[in-house]
Formats: sequence, C-alpha cells, structure tokens
Amino acid sequence: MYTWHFDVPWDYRAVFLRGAAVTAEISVGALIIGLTCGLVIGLARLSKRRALSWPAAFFVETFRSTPTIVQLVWIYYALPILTGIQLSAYNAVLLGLGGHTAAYMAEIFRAGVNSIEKGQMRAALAIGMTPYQAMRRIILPQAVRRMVPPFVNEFATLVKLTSLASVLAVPEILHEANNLIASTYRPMEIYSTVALCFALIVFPMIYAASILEKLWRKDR
Amino acid sequence: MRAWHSVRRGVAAAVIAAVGLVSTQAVAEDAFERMLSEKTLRIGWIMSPPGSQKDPITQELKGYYIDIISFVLKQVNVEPEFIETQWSTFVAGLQAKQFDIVAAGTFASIPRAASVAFTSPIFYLGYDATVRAGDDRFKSLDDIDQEGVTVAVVQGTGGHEFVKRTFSKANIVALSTNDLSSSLIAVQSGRADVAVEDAWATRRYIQTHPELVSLFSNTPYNLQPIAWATRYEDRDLREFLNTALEWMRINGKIEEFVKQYPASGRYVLSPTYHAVE
Repeated sequence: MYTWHFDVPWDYRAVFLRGAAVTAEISVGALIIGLTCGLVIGLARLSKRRALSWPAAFFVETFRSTPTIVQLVWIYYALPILTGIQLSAYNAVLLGLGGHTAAYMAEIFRAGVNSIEKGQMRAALAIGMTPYQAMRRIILPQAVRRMVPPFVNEFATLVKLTSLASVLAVPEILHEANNLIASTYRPMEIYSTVALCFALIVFPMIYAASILEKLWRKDR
Repeated sequence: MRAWHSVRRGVAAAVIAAVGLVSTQAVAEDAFERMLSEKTLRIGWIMSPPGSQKDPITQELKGYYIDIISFVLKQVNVEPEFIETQWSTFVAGLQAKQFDIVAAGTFASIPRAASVAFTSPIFYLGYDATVRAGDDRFKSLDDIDQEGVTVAVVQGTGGHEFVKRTFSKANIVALSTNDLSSSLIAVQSGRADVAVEDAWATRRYIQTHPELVSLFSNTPYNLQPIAWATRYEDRDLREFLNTALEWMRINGKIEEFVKQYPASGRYVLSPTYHAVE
C-alpha cells in the first residue's frame, strides 16, 4: 500500500511558485507573439495577393501539421546546425510556442472575419470607406466577439503546452517538479501537485470564457 | 505573375542566406581556442544527484561533477557556464554546439561513442533491477527476459542501451524523461514488472520506497565507465580535460570532491605505482 506524503510538495511550495511564474511568463510571451503574428498572418491569408496568402498558408500549415514538441526540439537543436543561429532554451521555447500560437490564432482570425456577412464589407465600401477602414470599423469589432471563446481556449491550450519546455530544461512547473523528484524521490505527490497547479491556472480562464460567452449570447 | 516572381526571388534570397550561414558555421573555431580566448566554457549538466544537482530552494548548482569541472577550469582562469540538458538530448545539444562538454554521469558506451567522444573514465558504475516487494519471479537476468515481462527504462540512458542489447523476449518500455526514477515509478504503479536503472539511483529510491526491492543491490551487473562527453572535432579540449582528470586522479582530488557527498556506489580502477630504480 502506497503511503502518500503531501508534506513534501508543501515543504517545497516555493519551487512550484517559481515554476508557475516561469510558466506564466512563457505563456504571456508566446501569447503576445502569437496574437501579433497571428493577426498579420490571418489577414495575409485573407488577401487576394498570392505573394501574401501563400507564405501565410505555408506558415500556418507547417505549424499545424507538426507536433509542438518536435518544433521546439528542432528550433533548439537543428536550427543552430542549419543556420548558425543559436537561441537559448528559453528563447527557443518562446519562438516555438509563439509560432505555434500564431498559426492557430491566424486561423481563428481568418474564421472570425469570414463569419461576418460579405454584404457588410460591400456596404462599407459603397459608402466610401477604404478596405482598411471597413475592416477596422465594421468587420473586426463584430468578428472579435466571435473570436474570444476560441482565443481563450487557445490560450488555455498554450498554458498546458508550456510543460513541453521541460524537454529543453526550461525551469517551468514540470521541469522544476522533475528536478525536485530527483532530490526527494516522491514522484506521485509531486506530479499530483503539478496537475493541481495547472488546473488552478487553467480552470479560471475556461470558466471566465464560458461566462463571457453566455453574457454576449444574452446581448444578441 | 509578378507576385509569383517575387515569391521566387524571396525563396532564392533565403536559400543563399542559409548557405552563407552554413558555410560560416563550418569554419567556426575550436572549443578549446574559444575557451582560452573568451575565458569561459559552456558545460552541459544533467540533473542526477549527487554528481550534479540544483538545490530546489536556493537554485545553487552542486555535486561532485560540478566541483571537479569547476576546479579544473579555475586552474586556467576560465569561468564555467552551466547549461542544463537531458539524458535523451545531450548528444543533440553537443552537436548543435549548445554547450562544449557534458559534465555528467554519462556511461561511455559503444553506441554513444559513435556520436560523441568521451574523456578518460572518471569512475565505473553498474546497473540494478527493481521489482515490487513480494514479486519473486526473478532471480537472474534470464528470468527477466521472458515473454509477458515488461521492463521499464529511461530513454537515452546507458540502461536503455543495455536492455535493448540484452533482452530479446521481454517487452521494453522506454520512458522519455529526464527523471531516473521514472522506470521505478512504472514498476510501483504496476505499469511494468522490472525497472532497470543505475545501481546508485535505484538504491536511493528504494531507501524511501519499501514497496520496491532491488534484485542485484550488492552485485551490480554490466559495470561501465562513467566519462564526460565532448565533440569529436574538439580534440584539444578533450586532451586538456584528460590531462586535468589524470592529474586529479593521481593526486586524490577526485576522491576528495566525491567524498563530500553521500555514497554513490562507484567503482574505481586503482593502479599500483612502483618506484623505478
């Protein structure tokens, strides 16, 4: 019969907090990269100019069709050999997860914009707006509302994906936990605590998204 | 059509830039030269107490491998820059030049030596096998290598190479993790029947988990040299490290550092010195 010792993770709570801080840092950093690049790439994919839409499609499909862990390991280990560009493990994770998020965000942007009736754009152009003004004033304000729930889901996924950074020895929660196990030999208790940490971070986000969705549904 | 031309021009420019970068990489200087000129050496380390570990609270890096390499570099006024790596990726890290040496308890095995060059052995370590207490099916390695027996091992470790080489009938489960206790957890949770891990890591884990027992605790099998890994092309660096390790071995410096930590179940070769008339 296994005897649980949850006093061990409690004694090392500072380690979990430190890991959670790094997890949050990576999540926010990758989200900023993902949102910024995702918007640009999403709009490029909508463009009728192939010089814009093809590279954007290539970027999105490359990231969507390869496993995230492979992307991280490739950026950290293969990129320096191919190009001489040597990134720290932390930056490799930011770039990898940022790119991954950008690919998915781009698809959310594209789907959001496409969900707005085409007639609205034509009407905006007919009253003298430029395509940029029509997008900013008419299309995006409506599309963004529809994009928020998938955005939040994507962010929750991103937070969970940060645990892959442990493969490159970036000290996020899972990596800190693995190192702690090597010192304390209490894996069951420590992995249980890691699961609890992630649930505490992710659950409020999912809950907030569902509330927001209900509120907006009422407004309609 | 114009758009297509611009895409082609962009791709061509990217290819030329990539080729340029690759050829720049090809003439990069030797790690030893860089160490002497920059006064720093990038060292890969792997979490495996007591050889190398990070204090969970203070984040201080310690362990006898850390002490030994720090001592060596101090003699030539070089600062160590420690970069954490993993058992399954340290070879890739060396090849990608993320660091210049892996100062960890790496088994200098023949398959690994096909990819990385090892220093002279620092000491020797064997393997142990662990089963659940009360499971008395196994008395020898032959008992383990049977149909229906699941053997857990950490991917990329010397133990992984050993089980692949030794067991043909048993089902081998290679766990992709840096945690050497993972195979023991697999046995504990009933996912595997036997865990194969180095004798020292096994001993430490069993001390805190009486529900597991070791099969060969007093007679570890498959003793192998523990040595540090470098890139083959960095001959000068390896020569320097070998000289330093030999000096430390003869002067008892390695033992001095190792004895500051808990017993590690190591084996050493003890050459006998004779005075020559």
